[in-house]
Amino acid sequence: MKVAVCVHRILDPEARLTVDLDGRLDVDGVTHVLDPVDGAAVEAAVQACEPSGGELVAISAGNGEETEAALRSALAQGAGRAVLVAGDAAQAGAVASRLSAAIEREGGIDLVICGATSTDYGGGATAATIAAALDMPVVHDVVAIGAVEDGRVAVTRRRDGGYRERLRVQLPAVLAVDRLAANPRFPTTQARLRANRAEIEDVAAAGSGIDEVSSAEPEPLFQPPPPKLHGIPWPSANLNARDRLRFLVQGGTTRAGGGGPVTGSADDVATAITSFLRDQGFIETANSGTGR
Amino acid sequence: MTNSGVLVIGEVRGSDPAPRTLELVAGLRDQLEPLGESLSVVLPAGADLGRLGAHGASSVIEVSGAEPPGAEAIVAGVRMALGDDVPRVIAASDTYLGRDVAAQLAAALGAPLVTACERLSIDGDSSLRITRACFGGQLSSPAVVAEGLLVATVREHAFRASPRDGAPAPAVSRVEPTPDDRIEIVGREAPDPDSLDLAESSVLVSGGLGVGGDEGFALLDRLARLLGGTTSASRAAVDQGWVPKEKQVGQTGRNVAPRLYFACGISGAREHMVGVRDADLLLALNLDGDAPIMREADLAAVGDASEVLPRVLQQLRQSGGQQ
Repeated sequence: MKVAVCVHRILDPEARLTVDLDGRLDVDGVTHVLDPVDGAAVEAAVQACEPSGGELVAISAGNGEETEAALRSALAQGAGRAVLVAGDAAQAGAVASRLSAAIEREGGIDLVICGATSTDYGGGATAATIAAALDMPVVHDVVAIGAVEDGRVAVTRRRDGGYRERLRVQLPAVLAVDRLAANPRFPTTQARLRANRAEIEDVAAAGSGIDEVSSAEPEPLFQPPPPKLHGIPWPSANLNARDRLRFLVQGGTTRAGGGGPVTGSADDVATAITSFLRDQGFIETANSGTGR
Repeated sequence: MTNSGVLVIGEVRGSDPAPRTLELVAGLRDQLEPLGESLSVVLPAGADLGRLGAHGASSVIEVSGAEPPGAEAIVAGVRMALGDDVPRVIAASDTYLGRDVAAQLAAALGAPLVTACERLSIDGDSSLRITRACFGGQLSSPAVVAEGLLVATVREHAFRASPRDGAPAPAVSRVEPTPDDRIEIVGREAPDPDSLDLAESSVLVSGGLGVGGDEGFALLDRLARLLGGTTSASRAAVDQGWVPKEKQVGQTGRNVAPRLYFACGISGAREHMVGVRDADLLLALNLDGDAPIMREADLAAVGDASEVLPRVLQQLRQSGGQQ
């Protein structure tokens, strides 16, 4: 089986980011890392290749050393080859069309694996755009990639509320994986050294006919106000000092609540809890949830 | 051709449209009304449509076929229903299903995709203003979309649900897309309480020091299973070694947003409460009626978890029938 995995680097999502008055990111001292979801994608791709002893190609689109570094991370994690599509790729659509061109040029790919939602700007159209360009089926939020049987791969995808859907997808296909799909392995020193020495093929330089895309102005950003959820998280002026302090001590939670606490024997309290659960519709949930 | 109107990708919960779909419909209705543009909703067939009409849907496109339809069926249904009329916005909820459908539609229609919108406003001159969360919610990014179709996923609580009396019933049409035979859904599994992520669970039964130990947590576990949820814990219970660190809710643990947070034997320190701010309902059971959590709870009950919970379990079994 021949698998392609698409990777890119982003600003370290663990770093604390600030913006200047013009809405530009202050990137001083913030490092770039392989997008964690791409790390999971590489590991899932390595595991998908292992049973058949297949070939794994890492592909990245963009300019400069960050793109190359993304590919070297993928190589260290187990990719066999690395392909770079040089060119400015500020827009998500441009990245996807470059990646599709590189995949098409590569030829014979059975499975394209990429991250479902990028950790920085939450972009999630890459997989579907590649699939549309190459006329392949696409499955998002994949958490497990299983065996291939009769030209179809078994996958499990994540749905809301903890549900999982099991599917069989005809190859060639594009799978956009969730972070739960795999835990990226920590590369050994030898793997890192090998990755650093490995040759990276630049397909745009080799005259692939992939168009230049003009760079777009970066979007201005701003720091959002702290989340305002249930009511306003600061105490009302009408409260006395004691209640204001209590409000602050309670983490700014305010609820309608009401009626004061239920007291009484254990039976009474249990009855109050049960009727609350029933009134709020959680008991029906229990019945349907256990699948009688 | 100018694009006009909005198409909402609806989701269902039980036999009703999901609350986040109603919020989205109501919020967009308020913006489209002055412009006189229409609002359509795509929904799996079989849901109760009365509430959609009350929230402002002028037409509903039901997708029939698979039960429940996967993302592929919804995408195919939308493409069938759209034909040549392209709206100015296709809006979905920012959920796994919503992002999936939105990404596929954006790719198929060649439209830009914006995820995790916190705000979306439609101006008369056919431009759109959006604000989306990025870098894990650390930063927000505003943008103006001048013309053409935009596919957006909108976060929960970006708008408020507001039904109106006497709203006309929506016009209903039905599409039955032929499924893409390249993707075959072979099964759908309910969440397994043992592996359910805290953030994915709609019911959390959470324990603190007052639960008393492993025996107490076994009770919480049984209750959580009955309610279709999972267990979580306060830092105090994690520090005692009763539950693994992954289950910890609060400032040094996870932030959660379940429909029900049932706190047993948790006093409700500030560090814990910031993690449960997004819970829809808070139910607290604690020995101390003066504990901080009691003032915040939708239902506060004074009692010993080890005495009350077995009775709750028993009553739930009786009222729930043959569990």
